[in-house]
Amino acid sequence: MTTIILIKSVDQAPTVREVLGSVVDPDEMIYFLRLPTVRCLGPLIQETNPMIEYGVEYRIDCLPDGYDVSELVEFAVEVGADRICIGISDRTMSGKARIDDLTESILLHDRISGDFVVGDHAIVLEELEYASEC
Amino acid sequence: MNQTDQNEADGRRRDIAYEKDVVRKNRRQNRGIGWNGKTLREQLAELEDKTEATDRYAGISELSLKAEDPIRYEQLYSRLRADLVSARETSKEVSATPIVEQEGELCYGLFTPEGDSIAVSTGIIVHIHTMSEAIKFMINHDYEESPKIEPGDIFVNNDPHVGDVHPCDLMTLIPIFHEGELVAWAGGVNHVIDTGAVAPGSMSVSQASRFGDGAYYTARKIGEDLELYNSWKKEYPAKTRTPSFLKLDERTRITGCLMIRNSVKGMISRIGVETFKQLSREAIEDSRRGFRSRIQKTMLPGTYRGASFVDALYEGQENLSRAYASENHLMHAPSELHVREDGSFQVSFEGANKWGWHPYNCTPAAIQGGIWVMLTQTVIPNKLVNDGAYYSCDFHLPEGSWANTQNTETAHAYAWHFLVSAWAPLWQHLSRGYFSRGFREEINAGNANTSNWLQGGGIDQFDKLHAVNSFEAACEGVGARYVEDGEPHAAAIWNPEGDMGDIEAWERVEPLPFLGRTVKPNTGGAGRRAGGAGFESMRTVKDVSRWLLYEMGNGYMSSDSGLFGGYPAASGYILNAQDTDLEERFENGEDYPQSDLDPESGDFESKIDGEVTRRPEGISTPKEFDDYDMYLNYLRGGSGLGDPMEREPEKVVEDIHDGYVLPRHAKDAYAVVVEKVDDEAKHNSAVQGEWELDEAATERLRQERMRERAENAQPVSEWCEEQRDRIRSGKDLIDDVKKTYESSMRMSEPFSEFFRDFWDLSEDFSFELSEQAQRSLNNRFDTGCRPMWDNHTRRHKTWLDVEDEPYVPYTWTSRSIRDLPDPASTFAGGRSGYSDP
Repeated sequence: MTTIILIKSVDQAPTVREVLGSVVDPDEMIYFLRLPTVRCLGPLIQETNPMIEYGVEYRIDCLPDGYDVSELVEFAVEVGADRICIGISDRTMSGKARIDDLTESILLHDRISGDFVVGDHAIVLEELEYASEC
Repeated sequence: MNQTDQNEADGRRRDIAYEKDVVRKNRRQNRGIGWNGKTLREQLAELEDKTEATDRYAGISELSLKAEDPIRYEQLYSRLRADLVSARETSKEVSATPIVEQEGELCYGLFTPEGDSIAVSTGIIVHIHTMSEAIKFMINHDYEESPKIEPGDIFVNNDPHVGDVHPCDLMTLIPIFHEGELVAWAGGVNHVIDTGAVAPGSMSVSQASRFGDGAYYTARKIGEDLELYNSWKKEYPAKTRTPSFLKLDERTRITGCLMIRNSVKGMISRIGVETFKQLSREAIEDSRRGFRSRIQKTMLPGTYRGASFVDALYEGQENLSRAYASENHLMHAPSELHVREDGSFQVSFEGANKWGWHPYNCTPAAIQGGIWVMLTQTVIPNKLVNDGAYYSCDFHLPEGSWANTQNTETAHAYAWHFLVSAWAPLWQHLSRGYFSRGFREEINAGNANTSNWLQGGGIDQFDKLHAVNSFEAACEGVGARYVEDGEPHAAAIWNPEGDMGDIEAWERVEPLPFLGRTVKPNTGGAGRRAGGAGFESMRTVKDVSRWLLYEMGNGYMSSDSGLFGGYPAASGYILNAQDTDLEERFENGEDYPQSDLDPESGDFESKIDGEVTRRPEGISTPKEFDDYDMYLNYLRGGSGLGDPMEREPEKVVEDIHDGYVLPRHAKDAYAVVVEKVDDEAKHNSAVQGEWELDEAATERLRQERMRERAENAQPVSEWCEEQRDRIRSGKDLIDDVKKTYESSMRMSEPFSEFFRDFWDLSEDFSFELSEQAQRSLNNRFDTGCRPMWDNHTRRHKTWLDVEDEPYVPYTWTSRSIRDLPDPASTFAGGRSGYSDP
């Protein structure tokens, strides 16, 4: 199984912990995909130690400034991602996870479909299927 | 500049402009300078995570490059190493100080982007790991973001809290890029002649804190496009008494780093960047495995224990920078080596006492680098030497102790004084391990205390402000081996290629003419195998004004004990003469002292009139010297191995003729009786004449000594009881000793428990201290921590968090070496070779 974790901020250690601890299994492949809003995942990796603490293989990649969501989907297709995990950065007054623009655009992208699961710190789009490019 | 050099410089500039352009484009695309767009900090974090999770460097399971074509692998690695050695040999000719040019106090390293050394030159290779720490510091403190790490940048560091032993070792670091990626770092270090400290010289001894140590440059960017910033060019020369020397030293380091850069660029163009990356990773993993397999083959797993001490006496010293620094310190280094079954090991200084208001404190980088340099010379001389060894060792260095102050107020100008003394037991741990596995040639009684340090400065013979730091200390006697005597006046443990240097070279830069230089008798430790003798230089002073000199070394205490019944090397002392009649003696053609071969003979005093100072201490603070004053620079010997009574008497006679032993010492230490048979004969002896062995008298004397030993011997239990009474009552214990142990007990609950349990003391036992000692301890313990690192590396955790130490097995009782089927087997892997650690 292959999972992409989208990182929007270095404060997303709870998201990473939740995904690595309860969503993925050891020995799975994880892609930490850094968005332009964060320059470096070093502190996050140092805090969570994905291989020591969760036994997962991983890579770190980045998306450029001004990226289009289709680039993200392209990346997911390329690595054969089974899941995309996005941190919950905000909640409504009643405690519901707020779907931000990025999450929405992934959910609505016409090449991608899957199950939508909301955790405490992460939104997980799993059982991903990809439509071929038109 | 000739056309060839000009072309090369132009090519370098073009390359840097191109690389810089790529790096900046990548940055705009949110890509870092690490591999595949990662930032350096991401790359380091990933490396550490994978290394620790897999117990293999970077998670490498197969050494595929080596396996596929071992000859090519060796060729590539050897090429890198040869280019590093070549960089050192070539660039050291740029320097003007004998410290670099004569002693070779210079080394280079090639590092991975994450700061792990791939290959090293010869020289002061302690810094291979200190530079490594400096690079990791820059990475973990986000230098990639600010001040940015770009092609053509030049960085400098001399801060031990970042990665250095002491501030007089200045390091230059240059990043090497390929197509916008950082592929390596080139680094060089040399020992400079003056750091602008409170006293002239590179390792001032009279300051209480960092603020008297001299100029600190804490991992700073000092140039770009391979050009130094004007601000830097104006700053550092003003912060030293010897700007011209430091400028040339800097050019030396930059020259070497550029040669290494060329080498890496050339190799990448020949083999491709991916193969270079693979080589750099594999070489470190290969070294890590090599270290472990060597330990598995040569040591028994378990815990080896010892302790060492050294004195740093400041009570009553003049010219101290702070009144509260006027107190005596004894360094206490309880040393444990834990050898694990997988061949990794831990060095622990649990119980080390508190840091002090003196410049002998250490940082983890100093300890780790220092011990690493010793291990590479002794444990893995035939393996790849790089940070792979570092990944096989962990270090328990209690925070707040002299070994790891974690306080940026502490002084570190001569951290080596405690560092060299503290690793003396490590030699013994290793030697006992070798002995237990039947290895004999590897056994060594230990290194010399690397002193005296002749230092000082003032207005020199050219009427210029100047400072001196005689590096004759790079040439000390070596400890005895199991199979041979130690080499006399051979090297220093921190620079295996060290040398005493030519007298003429020193005299060119020091207004301190040599009156003599000779082997010093009785300085190597006595033993069945004798420790190598030290030597001495008698210096005078000429054509100076407001000139200061001082001494630095061990005095009352010998920091290294002997091994297997061998004696320690002689400790140090101070001999000066001021307001002398030396000038008149020269003019009248009269005899004058050229040495102090037998301090008790009165020979020195008989040949000079003046104010002669003989003191048993090894450290002095700066004293004013004038023309024709005199200074003895005495360089120590190595310790002995085995009972001196077992030394062949004929060898002792040879020792007398070679100048290593005085006739009276032959009797005292070796129970060898000699008789002078010719007054005229000249050997290399400290005393003139021909000596012969009196075999019958020697036999009688040795039998008598053995009887005396038996008569004076007492059961250990009785001896312990006597010592226990001393400890309980505090009687016959000087305040300095009590303060030392009390400090260790306050530093460490485990040590405290161990000490009380060992001596059968009450649970609340503590030493009664004088008011002054109590105040001093309270003052230092209350000072707390002022750490430099905000973001530590994973490898720091063994000294960061004692509770989280890696598992350490204590001594086994259920098995024996006899369980092993043959000499090549280890406990971990059955028949060894390599047991896949």
